Amino acid sequence: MATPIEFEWLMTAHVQVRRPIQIGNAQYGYRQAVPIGDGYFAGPSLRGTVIPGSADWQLIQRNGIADLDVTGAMLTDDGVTIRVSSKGMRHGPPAVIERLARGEVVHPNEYYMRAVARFEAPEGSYDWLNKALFVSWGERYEDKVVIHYYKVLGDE
Amino acid sequence: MSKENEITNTDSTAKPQRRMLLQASTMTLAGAIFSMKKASAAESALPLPKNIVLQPPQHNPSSEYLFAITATISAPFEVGPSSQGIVRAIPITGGTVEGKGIIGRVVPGGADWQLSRTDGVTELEATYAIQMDDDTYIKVINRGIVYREEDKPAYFRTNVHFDAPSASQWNWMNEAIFLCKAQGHPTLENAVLIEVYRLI
Repeated sequence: MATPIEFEWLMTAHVQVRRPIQIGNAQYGYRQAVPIGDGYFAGPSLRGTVIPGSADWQLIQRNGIADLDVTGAMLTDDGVTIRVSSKGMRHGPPAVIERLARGEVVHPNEYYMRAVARFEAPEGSYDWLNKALFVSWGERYEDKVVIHYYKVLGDE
Repeated sequence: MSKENEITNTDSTAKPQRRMLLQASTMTLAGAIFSMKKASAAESALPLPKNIVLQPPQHNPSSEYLFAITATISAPFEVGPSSQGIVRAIPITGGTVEGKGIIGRVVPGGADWQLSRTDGVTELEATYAIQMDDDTYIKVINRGIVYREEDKPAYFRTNVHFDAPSASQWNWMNEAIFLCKAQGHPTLENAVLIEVYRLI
């Protein structure tokens, strides 16, 4: 009983990010949006490009945890457009977050950047994405993010 | 993390040198995924980078079991067909929380709102509270899906979000992603068993 939940790699995405649009301190914390630029993704059963133009709406809470919330679209190499919506968080020891802030390359194991992802794929060859839960494991670099997506596996 | 840090973190006025280094480290990812599907890539006119290939990441996420919630339920009531499927609610009448060093109860009065979509997937969204044995109340929102296919065990996985008081010993519940395995309770009638795991 209570054997761990397991995961299966779905894809890895490389996405350029731009300068944040800063709202500033508002009722929930410090609000900003990081615009999503070009990108691409690949995995065993899907690959293609990220459609630029969405943004990661971030909320830096008073406890230092950054809430991440991005909804965007991806285009597979066989021409299917899929919505992806990802909500999660990034946090770590202050010294590590400061190194990230200076633009240093920090090993992603030193901070916690995780999210739960849901897809909306049109009926057809990718609609299996609509029928499971996915998580993501993020790596933050100076002007890009690398996001690994995994399916949350069910019982065998 | 201070907000100032976060802002400079996302500042893209990077030194070109450093940026090149970043790109170089990306390029060295080797594998067969992109070349595997070369034929379909050639058919599309998308600007996929030609020389970049990806392989499965070195790490796989893992999960750590924390505690189990047994929620007792009463008879569902149905709102009925809506534009997206059949909407129903299952009242949550109480229950227990049990794990290593964790004892609590489910506060009666929540509900699991479900949407049975036309593609066979049922979405769940349960909102309720638990109360730990130090009397702390914690808000619970548990969202997920159930999908049943013939000849396969049901796929029943959720993502549970907690709101715990920051100053309490339960603050760690605010600081991670939690996933659940859920099922009808194996031994109790009118109850569901939710096993909570932390995404590591």
